[in-house]
Amino acid sequence: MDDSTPASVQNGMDVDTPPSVTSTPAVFSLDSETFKKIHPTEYHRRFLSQGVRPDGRTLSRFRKAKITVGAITTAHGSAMARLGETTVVCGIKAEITEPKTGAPRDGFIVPNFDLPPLCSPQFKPGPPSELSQSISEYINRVLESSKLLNLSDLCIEEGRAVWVLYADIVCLNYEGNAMDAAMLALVAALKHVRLPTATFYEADNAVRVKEQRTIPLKLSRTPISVTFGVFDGQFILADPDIEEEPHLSSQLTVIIEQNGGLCGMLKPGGSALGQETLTSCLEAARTRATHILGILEGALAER
Amino acid sequence: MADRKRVTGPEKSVVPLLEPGSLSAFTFDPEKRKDGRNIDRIRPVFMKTGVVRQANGSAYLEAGKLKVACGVYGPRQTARSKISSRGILNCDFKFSPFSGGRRRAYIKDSQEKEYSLVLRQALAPAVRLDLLPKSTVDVFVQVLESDGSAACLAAAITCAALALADAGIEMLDAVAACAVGYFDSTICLDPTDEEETYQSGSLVLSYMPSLNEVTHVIQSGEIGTTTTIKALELCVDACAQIQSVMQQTLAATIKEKINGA
Amino acid sequence: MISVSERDYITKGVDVSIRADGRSRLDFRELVLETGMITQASGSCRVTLDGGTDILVGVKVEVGSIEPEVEAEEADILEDMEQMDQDDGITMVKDKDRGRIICNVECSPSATRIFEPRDIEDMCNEYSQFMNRVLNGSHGGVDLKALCIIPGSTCWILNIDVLVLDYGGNLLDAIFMATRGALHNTRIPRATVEQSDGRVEFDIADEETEIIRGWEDVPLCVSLNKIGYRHIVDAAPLEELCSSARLTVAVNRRGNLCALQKGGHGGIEPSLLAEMVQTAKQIGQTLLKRQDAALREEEERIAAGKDPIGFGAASRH
Repeated sequence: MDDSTPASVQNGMDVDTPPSVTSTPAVFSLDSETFKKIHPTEYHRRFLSQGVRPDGRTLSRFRKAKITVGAITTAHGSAMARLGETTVVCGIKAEITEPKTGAPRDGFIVPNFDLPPLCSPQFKPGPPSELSQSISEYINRVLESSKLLNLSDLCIEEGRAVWVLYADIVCLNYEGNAMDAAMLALVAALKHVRLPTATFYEADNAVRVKEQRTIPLKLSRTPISVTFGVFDGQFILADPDIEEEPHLSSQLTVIIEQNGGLCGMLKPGGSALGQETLTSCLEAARTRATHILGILEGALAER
Repeated sequence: MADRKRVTGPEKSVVPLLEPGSLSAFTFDPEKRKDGRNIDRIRPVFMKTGVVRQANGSAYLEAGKLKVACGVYGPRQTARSKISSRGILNCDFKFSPFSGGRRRAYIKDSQEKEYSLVLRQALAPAVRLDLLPKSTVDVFVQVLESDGSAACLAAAITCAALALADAGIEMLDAVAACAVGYFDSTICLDPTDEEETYQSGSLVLSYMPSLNEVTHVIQSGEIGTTTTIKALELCVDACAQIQSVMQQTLAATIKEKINGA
Repeated sequence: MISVSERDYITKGVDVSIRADGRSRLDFRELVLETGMITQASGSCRVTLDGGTDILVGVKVEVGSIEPEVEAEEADILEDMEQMDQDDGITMVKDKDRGRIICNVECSPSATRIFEPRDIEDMCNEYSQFMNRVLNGSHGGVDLKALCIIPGSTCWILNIDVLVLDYGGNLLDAIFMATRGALHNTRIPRATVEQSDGRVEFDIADEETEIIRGWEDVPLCVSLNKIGYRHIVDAAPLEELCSSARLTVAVNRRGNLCALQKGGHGGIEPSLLAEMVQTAKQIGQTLLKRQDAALREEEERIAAGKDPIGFGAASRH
């Protein structure tokens, strides 16, 4: 552990017994590893009350982010995002489909987030877990409501053929805060997408494409997700990791776009947050979003 | 049938056809493979362990465009109903939706189920399951990018063996696997996806070089006996090469751990 | 379950080529083959191996659509390039001009007293998968193109249902023998295709039937089991329990291998593997000759108008 760990943790934890029980309070000493296992919430509380977290970060510090694009050549666009140790890969595949009768010029974008059993011992093979379902749903909602893509840009032949973009995000290592990583990978992959020129042939009711992929997507904005965790209703933790997540009393995700505007906010139940807390979180999120956008630009420039 | 737990797109979608004449004419010539290899050379392979920190052991393998990741969890306690004196090896193979020419569904299809079975049959003879009573070892393979289905299966087996070694699960030897494509009477090692479209058959062989034992072999297509036997020999040699890369990777990991600790 | 002494006895016996029932390592048991006893099926065959294994195969042909039913939300594909047979996985062949074969293996309760229900399910799945892989594809022998009625939309589907009536070791070999016999026995109604008003229609004439083209090229399976340092053919149940590794080879009458698969917990040295492949080829071809002779006799019997005597009384081969 580094110098920021409070002394009480480094020297072993004392479990206090209420003084009314015995005249001489019994005190056991436990090493920190054991204490962490049997009383994890108290373990975290001891750190946070000193303004620091078990992994050495301050409460407002985010983990390092890293993005690489273009790893998956079978996909039309791909990106890998790492947030600390949480790693996700997003691959976007474009296929052809018929548009809905009510919207003959609109294409489709189908995002899905998957937490395979590979990424963490808590996920088992089978139907998607609640966490992955809720993240998929939220990402879908953000894409739709922010009109990230103009769906008529995906039109090939009105009423007959449109592009459908399957954006599949797969987590390879889950160490907390999958939402931010997933959103980042998705946006990076979307910016990396290159579609081939497509023509619709009436004669055989088929679409044919050129081999070269040259057409990028036009994104109306660049949404960046920033998540905060709330501990004990009072401590705001930026970018909660896997150790902290199970003990949070609440979470807050804000989606900030490139000019600092707010695209979305998600606070799924949990302990209440005051207005000032919300405002300070938004400020912190804006700073973080600018930083992430810089990294994103850098990664896309390297392709 | 709608998968109600996921975001579903339109009911039907197809991969677009290519414009006629736009396909850079690909004719398969065993003497001149597209990436310049000889027929008896495998793609240069890159391996790394410890990529999934949450797992007990993990490995990542890259061979040309092929990318496979594997995580091993275990030994962990078996569910009450299945307790036995011999450990259980549980293998799970999954293509990522974006890994191939067309998008794959999240629900496992029959090819993935078959590959999961082959994975278990190839690894079980090498793992010392008798030393792990009442325990299960879970092996999860995720293919990020596929380039040749037979080569992909072989890479998955190799990657899984490496991950098992990284997890510290005791084994008789690290299994290496290799794939071969038959083009009439020519045998080509490690065929890519493009080359596979021309093949008349394929073979995947899993081998333990230190014990000189084949743990698994699976072949399909109509092939003559002499050609088959020649292919077996070719694969055995290639597997020995692959295992040396596995050993180097594992040695490097251990050195890092010693230096880092 | 097998005791240590039984295992020892069998292993030592195999080493000197004297097996428990007196056979040498590469001797196949006598088989009894009978065809056509299930009148409701398009084709049927029953094979009994002396010593217990009893397999009944029924083939039913039906008209179906060319695109196979897809699982879950998988998309259909229309690819312009020459469709590839995915030889190494299950074929989801979406060729526009081929029929399909769907195999299903099941165990009757009388055969299940030895195994756990879960093991039986796994075994049946594995055999079904293996059969599907071997028979669908040009290496399977059956002319799938001939099963096409209207390219792109309709074709014949052969449903091959295998019922294991009794277990006496070496199921897969017997299954393939019965399947080949059933395919020899199968008759498909003739389908005539007409074009009218730009639409293509077909008509099925129940009375006129034709044989399955390519049935002679369907391969037979030979399963070799490694016991100790030797290998045997046509294992009995106790021998199967002793075997450390199993090699299944599908051989056709041209002497080519149509499939090769290894099972079992142990490993096989490459040299032994090559030897086993050679053995399998020879034995496979012998078996094919035996079966062809049996089928010829069956044909004569049917042509002479003799009714099948019933289960278990047909001629021995």
